[in-house]
Amino acid sequence: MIYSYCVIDSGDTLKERINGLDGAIIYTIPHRDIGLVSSEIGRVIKDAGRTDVLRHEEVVERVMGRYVVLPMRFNTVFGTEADAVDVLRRRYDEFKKNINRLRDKVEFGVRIIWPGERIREGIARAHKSSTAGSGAPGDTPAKRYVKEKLAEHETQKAFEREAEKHIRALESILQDAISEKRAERLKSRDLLLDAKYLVGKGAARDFRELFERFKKEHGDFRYLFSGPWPPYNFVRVRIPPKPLCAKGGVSEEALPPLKKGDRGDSVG
Amino acid sequence: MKRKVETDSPELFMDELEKIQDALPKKIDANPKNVEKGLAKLVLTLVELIRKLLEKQALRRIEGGSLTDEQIEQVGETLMKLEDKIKELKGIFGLKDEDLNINLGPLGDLM
Repeated sequence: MIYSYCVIDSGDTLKERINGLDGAIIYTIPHRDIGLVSSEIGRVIKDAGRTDVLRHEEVVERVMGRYVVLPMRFNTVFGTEADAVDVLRRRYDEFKKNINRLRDKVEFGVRIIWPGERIREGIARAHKSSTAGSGAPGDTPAKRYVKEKLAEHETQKAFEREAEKHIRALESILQDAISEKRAERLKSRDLLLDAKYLVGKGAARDFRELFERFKKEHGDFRYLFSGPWPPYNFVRVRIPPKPLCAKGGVSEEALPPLKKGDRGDSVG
Repeated sequence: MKRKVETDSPELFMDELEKIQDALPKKIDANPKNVEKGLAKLVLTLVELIRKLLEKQALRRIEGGSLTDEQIEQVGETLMKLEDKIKELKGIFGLKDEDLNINLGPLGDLM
């Protein structure tokens, strides 16, 4: 079976010797001017183990040093080389578009924790005092319930507006340095933002400095910054109409599914 | 530019990410010992999702002033009873509020 790591903008043989999963030698399966970076694998990977995931990542990183890479999702396996070539052939235009779009781009990750619980409590308190006395003594339990729910609903909306204000502030600072973004807001009450930004290699330093500026202005938040990474979250390839590894392939989902909204679509 | 992973609060981020992970079961735990609980979790998650959607829609209509007092009363009673019933079922199956979620992979969490 053929384990795949990434698609690159070349069908040439790799210039350096790289070991992939289980120590297997990495090689390129070419099609026209693109190639699938792969290695042979003799087992089915049932669960993502740390060693395998890190090895997959290491391979993509090393290849990224020389080529434009479209990282494949971990555990994308083809039954035979012919299956892999078939994917390259059928999805060639999409791969090329992605390669051109992601040329000289890298990905950065930004996570921000804010005191969400405390902020929400403050909003709820303020809302309670401003609506004190709105409950009538003759209210039925059902009416009281509705009023409580309305108050919670108002609090939640105000809380989300507050979060949005800070996220907009960050993005207005970063906007000149970023090409694309995928951001998830309030994944939990305290996790204000979990975002990935696509940044031109030439703008990477600016991006970093602009981010530091935001940090200084929002010293009470906590930050996790990472990168540059291969553009894992920015590869867009459509779902193939039928399983691509029909003959002996272990992964029917050779390419990952579309993703909605500003989270974009991704192979990585 | 060299790869950097920087944070001033590694533990805080670990805790927060673990919290999110805990709410995202990768598989439905359906071994013979707790198959009932696994199924209850799945069913109650869907019921809770529908309840939340109904609640949201109702609140929107109340805010918009399109419901009469009598209708508000009826909606309130229905939602209240539904919430009580879900609470009761959660108690029976030993489920917590945060258990009622499903990870939809690339689409994120159901709720």
